[in-house]
Amino acid sequence: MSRKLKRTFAATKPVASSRRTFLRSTVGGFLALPFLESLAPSTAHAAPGDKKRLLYWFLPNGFFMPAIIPGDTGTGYTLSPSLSPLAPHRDDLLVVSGLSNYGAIAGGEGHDPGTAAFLSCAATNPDFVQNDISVDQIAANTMVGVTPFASLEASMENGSGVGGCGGAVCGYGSNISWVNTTTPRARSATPTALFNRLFGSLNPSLTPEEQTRQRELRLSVLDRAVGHANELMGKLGSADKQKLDHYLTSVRELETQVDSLSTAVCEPGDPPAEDLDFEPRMQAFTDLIVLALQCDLTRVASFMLGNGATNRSYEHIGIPESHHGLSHHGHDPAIHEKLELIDAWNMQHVVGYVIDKLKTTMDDDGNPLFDSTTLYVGSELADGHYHDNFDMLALVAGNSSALNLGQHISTSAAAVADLHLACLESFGVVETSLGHSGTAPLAGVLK
Amino acid sequence: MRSLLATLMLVGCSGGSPTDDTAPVVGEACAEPQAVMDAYCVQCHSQSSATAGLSLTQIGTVVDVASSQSTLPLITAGSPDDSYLVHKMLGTHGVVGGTGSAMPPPGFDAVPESDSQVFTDWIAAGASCDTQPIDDDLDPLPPWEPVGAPGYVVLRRLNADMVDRTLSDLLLIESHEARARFSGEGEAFGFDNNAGAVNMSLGHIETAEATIDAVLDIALVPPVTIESYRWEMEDPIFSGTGTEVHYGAYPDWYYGIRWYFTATRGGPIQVPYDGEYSFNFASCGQDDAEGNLPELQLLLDGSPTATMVVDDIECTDPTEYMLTDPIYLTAGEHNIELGLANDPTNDDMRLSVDWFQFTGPLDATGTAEPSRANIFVCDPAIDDIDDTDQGDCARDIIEAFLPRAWRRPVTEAEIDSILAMYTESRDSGGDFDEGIRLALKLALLSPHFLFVVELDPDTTDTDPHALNGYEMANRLSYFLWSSMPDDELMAAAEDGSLLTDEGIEAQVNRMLLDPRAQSLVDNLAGQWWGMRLLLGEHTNPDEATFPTFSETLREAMHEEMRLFSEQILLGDRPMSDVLTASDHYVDDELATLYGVTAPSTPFAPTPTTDHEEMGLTGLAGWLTATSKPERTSPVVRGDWVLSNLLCEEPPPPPDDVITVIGEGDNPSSMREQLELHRANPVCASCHDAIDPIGLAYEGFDGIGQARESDAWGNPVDPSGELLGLGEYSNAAEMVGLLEGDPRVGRCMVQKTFIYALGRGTGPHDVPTIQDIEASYLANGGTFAELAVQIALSDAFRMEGPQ
Repeated sequence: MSRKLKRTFAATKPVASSRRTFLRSTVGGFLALPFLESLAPSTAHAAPGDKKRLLYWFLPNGFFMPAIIPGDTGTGYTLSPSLSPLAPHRDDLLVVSGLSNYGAIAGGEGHDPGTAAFLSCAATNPDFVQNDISVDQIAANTMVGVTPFASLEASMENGSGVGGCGGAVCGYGSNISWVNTTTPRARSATPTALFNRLFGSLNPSLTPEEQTRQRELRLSVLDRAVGHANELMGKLGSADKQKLDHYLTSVRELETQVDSLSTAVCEPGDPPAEDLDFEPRMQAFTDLIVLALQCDLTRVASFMLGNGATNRSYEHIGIPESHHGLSHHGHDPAIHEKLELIDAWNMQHVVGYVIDKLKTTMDDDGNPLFDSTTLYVGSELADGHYHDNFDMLALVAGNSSALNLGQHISTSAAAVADLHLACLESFGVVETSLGHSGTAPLAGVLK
Repeated sequence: MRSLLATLMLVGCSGGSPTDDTAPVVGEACAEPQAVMDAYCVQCHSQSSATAGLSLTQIGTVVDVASSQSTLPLITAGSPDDSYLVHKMLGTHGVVGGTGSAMPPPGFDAVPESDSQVFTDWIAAGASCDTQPIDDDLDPLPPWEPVGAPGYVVLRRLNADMVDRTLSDLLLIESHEARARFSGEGEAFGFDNNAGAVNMSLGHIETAEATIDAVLDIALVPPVTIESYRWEMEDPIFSGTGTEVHYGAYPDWYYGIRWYFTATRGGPIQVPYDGEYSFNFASCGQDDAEGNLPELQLLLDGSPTATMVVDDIECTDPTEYMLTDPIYLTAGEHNIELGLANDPTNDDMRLSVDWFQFTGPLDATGTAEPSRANIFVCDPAIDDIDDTDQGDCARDIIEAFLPRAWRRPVTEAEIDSILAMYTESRDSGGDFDEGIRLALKLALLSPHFLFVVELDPDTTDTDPHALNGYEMANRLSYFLWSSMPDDELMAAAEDGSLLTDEGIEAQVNRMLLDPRAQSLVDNLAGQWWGMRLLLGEHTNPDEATFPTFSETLREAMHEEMRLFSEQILLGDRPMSDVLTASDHYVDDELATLYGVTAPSTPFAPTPTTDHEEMGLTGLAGWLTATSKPERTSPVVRGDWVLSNLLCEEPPPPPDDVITVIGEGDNPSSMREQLELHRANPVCASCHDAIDPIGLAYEGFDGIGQARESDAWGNPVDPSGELLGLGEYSNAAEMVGLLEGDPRVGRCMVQKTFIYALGRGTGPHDVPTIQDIEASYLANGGTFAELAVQIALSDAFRMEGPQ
């Protein structure tokens, strides 16, 4: 709360607030701030062919580090055993090792602080909800009014980790995208939910005039609900006011989203099937997120393969034990082997799948989406056995015009936050701080 | 400070790496006692781990602050004898009525007298710490409330379950729409109804809107009346195939169908509802040379559905025909074709159709569904209401709806603000239903519906204020029903009886008899007693290890837990039965698991042999939910009991611990493996409390079956000792010992209190919780009595300053 984010932008082009509501809204001092912040001048992404995208892929439970960190550095690096399934993409990958998430360390280390700080790099408080805005949401704030959805959030799992979260605050372990210090973004936990979020409001059987009329009425309902909240504000205690302010901000964001949802979007295709197994479900999420990029419904998304400390088992590759249980491997070589198998499977089928999808899906300028997309892949920990948030590994891929791909950068305890700042800048947004420790884009990442 | 900590590090629950807390800058006045805290206490009681909810990183912040274990404050300035921390340090905490262990815990060196003297001297001298600054990097802890203060509940959004239950009661439908859309609510203090954790973001408001759209679709479906739907053949949606003759002299409708080649005329039609429809058409025809009459064939979606002979009639005056049998149609688009059924070689035959119509659905009653009738106190779809009077009808509908939706009386201005949405819709060309629908949508998307709003009558007043009757009605209904107040509760709010002890008690007892009180089983027991844990994807018994486990068995286990919880919460049973009851409810599969004969009626109460007198923890569902996929986990079971039945949540394990058990060639028994890790004093500090509880359950495998030997063939030994409580030979005896621990009784109250209020507890709540415990035990100790005593407390009836 006391942190001051200084925000500047690579290029500025004012985005006009397109709706009367925003101009005539009367809200008191502190209430107006989050919203005005989100209306801040955006970057000049809107020109066709100049769109940048930013994706975050979260793989829980850390990695088995000896098998995943490449042995050599620089452009001549050799893929490690766990990364070898990504061989077709070797020259399109940037492997960064030796990273520290100082926010997670200050927050007490482990799965929950690590997951909550995955994108915020801030220290969480175990007694009451306290994190900070996450890097994807900083990017999303520049997209308000530019794309219908400022960002998408999806997760393969609901709720929080096993047996509660070891403290008063749950939820740290299941949320990586945070709007502000206290509020995580609600996630779509099934492909169907994500599909409905993206395409549910379209009714192609109506005439364009009728669609416009109905959209206006929908906006009016939201606008009047804001009026109710504004009236209520003066009759509440101070803590209640903050809570209601989250409501106000959210309804206004929805207004912006509805307002910019054009009737002419690309074909959504069939809704995904219900009750999909693990791999097809992951693929359905990926397909929808890539489709949303292609249709320019959004340019920012985060995806969680599971909650931090997930107990998911990889039965489909013959590993019935809980992934979290295995991650505390106790230096047992038999378990190391299983962890390596899980990491390699995730690289091939999760990371490989989204990279392939981005490479084979074309943007409206005819280039693969991959060329304009920064994909960040990481975990909440380094080695699950130690619960450490230092010596961590992250992968960055895509967006070749901005990123120095095809190399392994081995850092000496560089801040993850600085890598995030570099990725953010590759998206076109320049920040000078993030969370607990980010100060400047990590050297060597940007071209 | 950090170097002192490193050299004096004797106490540790979180071992491993140095503590992450930035050490506060300590003012001179309390530097010495702070150093004692830092040396012996802070590694567990740090700001970030705050074991047992206590942080001692800034000793000045706990002066004259209540303890969660005792009626004594943690530190009473000027009086060491009245300072609970001193008693904890000296081991005399039990003498002054406190609970828990002496500190530092068993297995660690006690604080040397020279150091404890520093601490007591400082307290005796006034416990001054006024120069202690707050470190900038540490956010301040929430301000403590005065001891015994009612506290406050922050503006509480209805969680997904409450939204569904409220919409179901409000709209007379069965809504699952919110639960289907919200992807998990925030939880705190063990429940997902916590006002602070149930948050609000763009995604939540999108989800709320989608939910409201969906329920209004269900609730407002227009009444179905029998209508005729007529199509003229000249409508451009129809076209002909084969040879079609249009006689120039006749009007446009006169589309003849001459049979020569296969010829039909048809196209798509829309059918509004499922049901039986009668079919009529107007036609004329011309017979052939032999006097054979033309026959009309009706094809629906390509299949012949009916034929009918048409008379030889001049086409200036077509005749109307009707099929004798009605036709069943589903709602939606159908392709209809009309053609000649006669011999295709017959060249002379002529047939022409003017129009056709379907009438139905024939079973339509013309009355609205109960959900619509409930909202539409007047309905232009049924009643004859002029356009000019429809505005009045809309107002009547909103006047009746709004106080129910907002669960309080509403003002004229509030009704106007909703009616304005209706008017806007009508002005833009919408019909009556659309206007009402949008007005209702606004009412439901408004913060007055989505939140439990408790107004602050005077935001400048720093004293707690009493809730009004309607606010009490809402607190009671969301506690006991997870839903809105019913008419009777609203009446009790209006006549003031909810502001009296008798009125509250009468309503609580009435509400617990209502079917809506099942929400307590689903939500309170569901979360507290591990039922949701059983259904969650983390409970995943391995097929190879437990071949008898199946999804139907999991459901049966859940049903048994549900029936057990219902007995405790809604039956006339003491709450302590949770710990020691012998209730079992089994079907065939569960009977096999328990090794007993199945009852003739599934889930009838059934005595078991090995699972008696263990209460909740004797249920197969609980034993399964607290196991790992392939084996039991005494640590998970012990931790669960401590956290949920004693309200003593152990801190998370330190870094670099080995939690993998049973790997390698020749694993020793679980007991031996756990003893090994307790040899490490850092582990022992918590596991001395966890493991003896969990090991008592080793007589039951990962799906709750009684067993003599463990997964590795070692004989099971379920005996042990609970520190300070005595020795036990099996789980039932261990549970019996636990019953004697005062923390268990306290925990029952605390958990229910947290759920009832939707907020966590702090030190200021200790006297309130103690009072509630004493009163409900004196009155029979049932859940009903506990609910009454909670509802009668100031914490429930008042709201403190924020």
